[in-house]
Amino acid sequence: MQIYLPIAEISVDVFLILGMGAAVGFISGMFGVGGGFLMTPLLIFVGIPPAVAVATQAAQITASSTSGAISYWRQKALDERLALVLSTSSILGTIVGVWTFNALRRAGQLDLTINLSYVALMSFIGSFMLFEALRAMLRRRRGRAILKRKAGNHSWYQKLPLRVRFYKSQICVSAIPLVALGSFIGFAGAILGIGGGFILIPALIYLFRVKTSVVVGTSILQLLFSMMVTTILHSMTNNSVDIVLALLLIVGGVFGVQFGARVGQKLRGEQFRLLLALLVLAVGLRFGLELVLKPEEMFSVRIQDSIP
Amino acid sequence: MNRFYFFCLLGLGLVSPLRAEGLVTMLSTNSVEITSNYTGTEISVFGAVERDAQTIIRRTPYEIVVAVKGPSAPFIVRQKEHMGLIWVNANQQKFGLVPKFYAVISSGKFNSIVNSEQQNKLNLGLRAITSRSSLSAEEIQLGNESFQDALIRLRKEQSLFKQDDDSVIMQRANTFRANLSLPANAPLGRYEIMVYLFTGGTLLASESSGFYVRKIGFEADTALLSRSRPFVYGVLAAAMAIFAGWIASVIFRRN
Repeated sequence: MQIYLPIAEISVDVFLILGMGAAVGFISGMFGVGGGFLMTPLLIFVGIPPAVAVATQAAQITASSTSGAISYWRQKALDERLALVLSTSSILGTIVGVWTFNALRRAGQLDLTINLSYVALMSFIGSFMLFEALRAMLRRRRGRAILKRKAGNHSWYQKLPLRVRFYKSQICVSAIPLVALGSFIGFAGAILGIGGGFILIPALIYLFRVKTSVVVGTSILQLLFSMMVTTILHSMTNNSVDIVLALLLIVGGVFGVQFGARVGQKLRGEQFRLLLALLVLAVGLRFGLELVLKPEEMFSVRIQDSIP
Repeated sequence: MNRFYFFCLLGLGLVSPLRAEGLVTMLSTNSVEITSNYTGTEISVFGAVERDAQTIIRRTPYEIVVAVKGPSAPFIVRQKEHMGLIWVNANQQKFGLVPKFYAVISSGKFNSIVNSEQQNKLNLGLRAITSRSSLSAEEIQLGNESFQDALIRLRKEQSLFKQDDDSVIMQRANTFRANLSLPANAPLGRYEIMVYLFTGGTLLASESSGFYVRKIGFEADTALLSRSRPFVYGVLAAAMAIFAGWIASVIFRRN
């Protein structure tokens, strides 16, 4: 069954889009990542213009993270204070990011910048997480207890002034590195069209030693705030949020996210980290191959009036 | 209207009665309206070659060429090149105004009906409409395929450029019909249809008409709102997303 998308100005198969929404929603609910880094390439692959794909996805992630956040809220598996600090600072980053995005686009070669950033970011974070997860699993297999963190054992950036205590996350850290992290995620999110969950989750686990059980919920709540702002900013700057496409992705996505969240709760910490690491690495590898392998199509056509 | 004036002039004795052929054309529709179930459409161009007792007898058969031109925009074609380890967009060529949709349908082989000189003069055919590239000096040509060939090939793959030879059906002696299939991704805007009558390599007559492709109803309102009130549209989209997410969690809680 085909449906015409009013902003994307093409017609697509309803069930294909619903299925894509469900598949990405499942992964998104399981890991607490927005899934933007998976959905953008899929949407572009079915013929949606890249600008519409990136912008519409922000609306879809808003919806899936709303139901995700409610589900974690009921299980009391989120730290709303931490999420609030992170999302307030990410909004600042988003505004600077959208401005940079438009400047880069005018300068040309934006695609290359996006591809290179994806490869660098994902292969770095992915391999770091993979290494950590494998080490933890190995320890468990040998029957040795996992090293418990000691109270007061803090890195230099956690000891900066303006220290805040987050009870649910069981941390007491300076607000400065948290605001920096939040702004960086907002900035990267606006440029790469992603929510930043795959940066935030490892950062909370490894850099701030946040209690693993609240990490995913907190990340989803942060996503909800920043994607809501991104949806509005994209509508205002390039009119490319397609409400019909968003609705289709949402309907597919909300179902996927519910099942994903249930599976996610059953995974052990290391298994969870291992799977997320492999997923991040796989996407990074895909972008890397695209840059290195000889492309099948050497030419690309761009119509200039599609640029706002 | 032209015919009306012609007959007036004929009546006044200002035009020689020994005349060439005329063309009359008609479209199956003046407007393609896009709604949610739009997946492309077919448009028929009907026409007749007008001739009377005074018209000179031709030794060669009539040939019809129908050109359909959508709205135009500047195009950029980029070519990837190996730089160190990775492939990057290295060379590019700008094209001035090129139609975003173009189809040329002919009764015989297009290139044998219209020679390349006429194609350029009339701005007719895929080569001619893409030949006027911009004056910028960025056109470095490397590789085996020219940028123009690449542009034509890529637009053909998206069904936005077409050359259908032997596709104008000549019905009876002087009437003809051509079918144009407009793909789902055809751009919105005004389309111009030019019908040319050739014989033995000579242009005898031409006639132009046109139609619009536009959104109506919900699709038109949505697109309009997104442009005229982008903030309201964005807030609506975000509100709809949050509402949908909340509804979903309510549904799942009951299970």
